[in-house]
Formats: sequence, structure tokens, C-alpha cells
Amino acid sequence: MRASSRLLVLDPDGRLLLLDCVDPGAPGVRWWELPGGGVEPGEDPVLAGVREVREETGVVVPPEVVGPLQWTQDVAYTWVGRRWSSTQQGRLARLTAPPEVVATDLGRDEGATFLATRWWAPEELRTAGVRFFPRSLPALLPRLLAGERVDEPYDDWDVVAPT
Amino acid sequence: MVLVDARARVLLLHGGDPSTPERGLWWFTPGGGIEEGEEPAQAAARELLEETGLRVDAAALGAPVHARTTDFVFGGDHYLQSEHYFLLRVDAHELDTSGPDGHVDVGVVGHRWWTADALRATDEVLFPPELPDLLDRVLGGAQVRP
Repeated sequence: MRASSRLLVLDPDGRLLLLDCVDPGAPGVRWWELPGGGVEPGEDPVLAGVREVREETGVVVPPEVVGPLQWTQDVAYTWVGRRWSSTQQGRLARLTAPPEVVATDLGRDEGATFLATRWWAPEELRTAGVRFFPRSLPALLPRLLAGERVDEPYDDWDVVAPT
Repeated sequence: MVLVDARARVLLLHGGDPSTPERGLWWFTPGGGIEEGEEPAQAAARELLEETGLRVDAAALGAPVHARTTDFVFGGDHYLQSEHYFLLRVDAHELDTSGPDGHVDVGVVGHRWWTADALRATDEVLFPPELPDLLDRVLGGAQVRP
């Protein structure tokens, strides 16, 4: 399965960078996502995460602030009318200075998906009432901030959890 | 939204189209699409809050100071867009998108307060292109908010 490298980018105030997303293939479907994406063959997953975060959000993350692998999960989901599956990897990236923001670089479908960025205070996630990708993010974030390693079971994001 | 501070400077956001980085970046007024059920002034007030952190009552915006129709490509899609511009004068405002209503549109890299003279002198791309004249006109004729 393809690896997807995501970064939990934290600004100097400890706020988390998330992307406001919509599925262009299903315009009512909205969620807030950890930036990051596919690791190219032979690419270092840390550098892939840094590259993807820059392409998607414009935020420049110095590779030396990226921490160790702390989160993994195999996921499947539908995007632009197709099913996708990947092995997610998550690493913390604590910025030591206000973020430098440069131009983004996205393909057409990604450009139609990623609407905006916002820096979230960790406690905001629990009460936000919106979907996150990964779905576990509000509970996951405090564990990762505490230095824990979390390997989560497979999640099919299209299956709406029973309430 | 033509947001002008006490020094007669207008706030412009700096950004581009992520799907066509070769087109470079441009400067543009805060604002955006009108959602279903919204009046133009309500959309302008909502977008201003999201993009700058400044909260304003749509009813206080008054009538548009400018309108135009424009034709552009963004994200690979072609848009024919009818735009309404509202004037809002403030003493000063520090852009803050960290609140729960705030966000930064993907492709936006920064912002700056511009004088009409600086707008006239720059080689940077401006939207709307008639902004220097628009600014002169609204500052000449508009009342300063108490």
C-alpha cells in the first residue's frame, strides 16, 4: 500500500495546522485534514511530508524540526469518485518561529479540495463538531503531544460510525 | 471589501492560484463567493471575518461603492463573476485569522496595507485592476465612520 506522510505542524503557540477540505466529487462532504501526502518511490518520508505540507498549505517546515514516526494507520476513502487506500504516517513538527508561507502548488483536483488553512488550539478540536482526517484526531493529538507512539487499526473513512 | 485604515491605506491579500503557480501571485481585496441565501453585504462581512478577523455588521456596510463583472480561470475552472465592493473604514486592524471563524485561503501567502500612490506605482498585479482610481474616489467622497 502507498505510504502517506502527514505532519502535525505546531506553531510556536502550540496550535495545529489543518486544511479545510471538500470533495469535488461530493460537494457536501467537508472535513479538516492533517496536511501531507504520498511518499514518492525512494523519497524520505520526512522530506515527503515537508514537501507535501508546502505544496498544500504554503507553510515551510524546516526538516530538522520534524520528530520521529509516532502514528500509523491503514485507511481507505473515496475522493473525486475513486477509492483510495494508503498507509498513513504521522510526525510532529514543532515550529520555533512564526511560519514562513510561500505559494502553494497543487493539481486541479487538489486545488478544488483544499480550501483554506487554520491554526487550531488543541482543545478546540474536541468541541468543533466537524469531521477530521484522521477521524481520531481530537483524541489522538494529546497522546502524540505527550510523546506516545500510536498504531491505530484500519479505518474505512467512508463508513459512517454508528452514533 | 475595500478596507481602509486611518492612514488611507487599503488592505490587500497576496496570493495566487495553486493549480497554476506559473502565473505568479497577485494582490486582491478580501472577499469571496456569495453563499445561498446571503445578500452581497452579508457575504462581504462573513469573508472579512474569515480572512482578516475583523467583525462587522453587514447592515453597517451601506450600499456597494463599486460593482463589476469579471471573467477568469481559477483552479482549472472558468468563472464569470459579478462582484460588489463595499467600503469599510477603520482606525487600524491587525490581521488575525486564528479565531474559530478565521482561515487563510489556500494560495494566500501574506497581506499588506497599500496607499493609492503605492498602488499606482507598483508593477504588481492588482485585482480589481481599477483599485487605485476606486480608492481615490471612495476616499474623496466617503464619510469617515465615527
